[in-house]
Amino acid sequence: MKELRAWWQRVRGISRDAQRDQEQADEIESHIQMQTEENERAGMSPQEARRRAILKMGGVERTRQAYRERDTLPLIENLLQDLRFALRQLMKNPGFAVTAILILTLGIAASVALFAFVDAALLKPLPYAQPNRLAAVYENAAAFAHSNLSYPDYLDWKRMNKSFQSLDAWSGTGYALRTASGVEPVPAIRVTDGFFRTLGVAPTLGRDFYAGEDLPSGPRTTMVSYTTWQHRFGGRPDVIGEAVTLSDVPYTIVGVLPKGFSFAPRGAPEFWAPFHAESECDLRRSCHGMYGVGRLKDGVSLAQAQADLQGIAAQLAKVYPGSNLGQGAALLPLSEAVVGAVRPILLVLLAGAGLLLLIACVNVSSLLLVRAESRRREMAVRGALGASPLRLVRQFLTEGLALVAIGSVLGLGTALGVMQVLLRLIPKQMMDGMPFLNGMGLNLHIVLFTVTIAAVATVLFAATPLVRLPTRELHDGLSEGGRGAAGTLWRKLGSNLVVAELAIAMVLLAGAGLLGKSLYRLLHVDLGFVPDHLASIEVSGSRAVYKKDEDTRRLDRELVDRLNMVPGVESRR
Amino acid sequence: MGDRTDVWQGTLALMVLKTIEAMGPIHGYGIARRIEQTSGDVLSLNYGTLYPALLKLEQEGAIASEWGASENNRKAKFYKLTRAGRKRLEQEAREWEQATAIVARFLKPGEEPA
Repeated sequence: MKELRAWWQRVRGISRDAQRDQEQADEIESHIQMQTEENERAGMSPQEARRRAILKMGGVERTRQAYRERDTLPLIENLLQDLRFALRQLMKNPGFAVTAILILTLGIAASVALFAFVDAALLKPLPYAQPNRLAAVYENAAAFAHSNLSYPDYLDWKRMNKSFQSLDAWSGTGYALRTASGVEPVPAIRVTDGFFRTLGVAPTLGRDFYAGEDLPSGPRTTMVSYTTWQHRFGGRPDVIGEAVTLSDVPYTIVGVLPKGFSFAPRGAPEFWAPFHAESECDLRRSCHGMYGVGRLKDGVSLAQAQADLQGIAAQLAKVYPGSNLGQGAALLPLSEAVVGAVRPILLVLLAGAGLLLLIACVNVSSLLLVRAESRRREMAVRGALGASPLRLVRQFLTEGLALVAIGSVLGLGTALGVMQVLLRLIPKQMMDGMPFLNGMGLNLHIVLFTVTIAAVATVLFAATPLVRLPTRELHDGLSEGGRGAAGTLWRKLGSNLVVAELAIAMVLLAGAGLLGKSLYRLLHVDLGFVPDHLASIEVSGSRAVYKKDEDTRRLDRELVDRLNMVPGVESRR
Repeated sequence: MGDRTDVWQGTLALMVLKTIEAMGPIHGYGIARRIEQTSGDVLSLNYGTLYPALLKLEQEGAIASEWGASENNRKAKFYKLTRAGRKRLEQEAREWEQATAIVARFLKPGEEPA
C-alpha cells in the first residue's frame, strides 16, 4: 500500500517544475550553512568550515542527484527527456520531419483503411451460430457450375441426405406493400420452415416459423427485418399479430429478426415469408428458383456432404431423366458464397497497400540514414562524454518512436476518413449484398493492426541508423572524415534500398497500369445501343386490378402515353 | 571493523522516525546531528543519504514537511510525523526489538532454550 503511494508520488514527480528543484537545492544549501556555522563556532576558518560541511554531506551535486532521483522515476524521466529531445530534433529539421511523417501517414493510412475492409469482409465471420458449419447448396449442370435448386429436387435432397443436421432453401421475391400513402414495392424472401433455425438465428420479438408452416396449406405469416420494424412500424412491440397486405394478400406478422442479422446473398429483404409452393414453377422439377443452405452434421466435411448429395442427384437423374439428367450437386462454404467475389479484389488491394507501406518505410529509412550520417560526430562526442551505448541506442529508438507515433496517429485518423469515403463510393445495391461492411469503423482489430505495423516500423527505423553507427566504432566518428568499412556498408545499404524501392514501385505501377487499362476497356465496350439519356422504369401492377392480359396491355399503353406528356420525356415501349 | 559504524538503509528510516517523534518538528540537519549524538558519535552518517530517505518516508505518507525558520532564523524545511508515521514507528520498533531479542538469545553463551 505504502509502496503504491510512494510510486504514485514519484509518477507525479515526473512532471515536477523548476520550483521543486529549487526547493531541494535550498534545503541542501540550508543544511550546509547550518553545519558551516557550527564548524565556525568550533573554531574553523570560514573556508575550512564550508569545505568540511560539504565533505560530510558527500558532495552537493551527488546529494542533489540522489534526492532528485528519489523524487521521480528516472527510467521514465529519461524516456520523456529523450522524447522531448527527439521532438526538438524533428522541429529543428521541419523539412525532414514533415516529409517523413507525411510519407508514413500515407503508407499507414492506405494499409489500415484496406485492412479494415479485409477485416470486415474476410476475418469477421457471418453473423450466425458456428458459421463455418454452414454450406451454400447448389445444383450443377454442364452449363452452370452453381445453379439454383428446384423445389421438388430440394425436398428429395432434404429427405434423403445423411450429411446435414438441417437443409433449407430460400428464394428471393418482391411484394407490393400496401401502405397509407399507396402501394410500394418491397424486396422480400421466401424461406422454408427451418431456415432461421439452420442459420442459428432466433427472432428478437415474436416467434420463428414452425415446422410445416411453409406448406401450401400453412397460414400466411411473415417475419420482418429489424430496420423494417423500426421504419415502418415505429419499433412498436405490439406489431406481432398485426396484418399487412403484401401483393393483395393479407399476411400476419409473427416475428421480428434481430438487429445484427443480415442475409447477404439476398441484399436487404424487408419481409420474410414461408415458402408456399403454389406457382407452376414452384411445383415443376425442371424449374430452378431456389438456393439451398445447410448446416453440416458434426464430423461431416464439406466434401463428404458433396459426395452424399451427388449420389442422391444421380438417383434422381435415373428416376426423372426428363428433367434431371446430367445434374449434380455443388457445395460451397456459406462464407465463400457471400464474400467469394470480393475476396480477390480486397486481397490485391491490401497487397498493394502493403507494398506502398513498404516503400514508405524504405523512404523514411533512407532519410534516417542520411541524417544518421550527418550525426555521426554528434554521437561520437556524446559517447566520448560518457553516454552509454545503451543510452545512444535508446535515443535512436525514441526518435523512431516519435516519428512512427505521429505518423500512426495521423495515419489512423486519415484511414478512418478514407474508409467512410470508400464506403460511400460503393453503390447502394452492391452495399446491400455486403452487409458485413455496415457499421465499419474503429475496432480492436484495426487498432491492433496499426500498433503492429507501428511497432515493426519503429524497430526498423531505430535499427537503420544503428547499422550506420556501430557503437564500437564511435571513436572513428571523432576523426575527421573517417571513411572505413562503415562507409562501404552505407553505400551498399543505400544503393540496395534504392533497388528494392524501385522494384516495388515497378510492381505497383504495372499493377495500376493494367487495372487502368481494364477500366478503360470496360468503359468502351460496345453496348449495341446509345445509352445517353436513357432511363428504365419498372412497373408492377396488382393482379386484383389487372386481371386479364388485356388489362395489362391497357395499363402499358396508358403509361407510355401519359409519360410522353411529361415535358422533356420521350417514351417508348 | 572501523571505529565508526556506517548506517544501513533499513534502520535509517526507523532512526529518522524515532528522532522526529522525540524532537517534534525538526529540520534535516537537526535529524542528522541528533542521530549521531544519540549513537554516542559511533555512527557515521553520510548526511547526503538522509535526504532521499526523508523524501521516501514523505512519499510513503509517514512524515510531512513544511518550510519554517530555524533557531538562527534561517529558512529550513521542518519534518513532522503523520498519524500513519506514528503507527509505523510503533510497529517497526516492536519488530526491531523482537528481532534483536531473538538474535541476542542466540548469542548468549551457555544457555539452551528449555
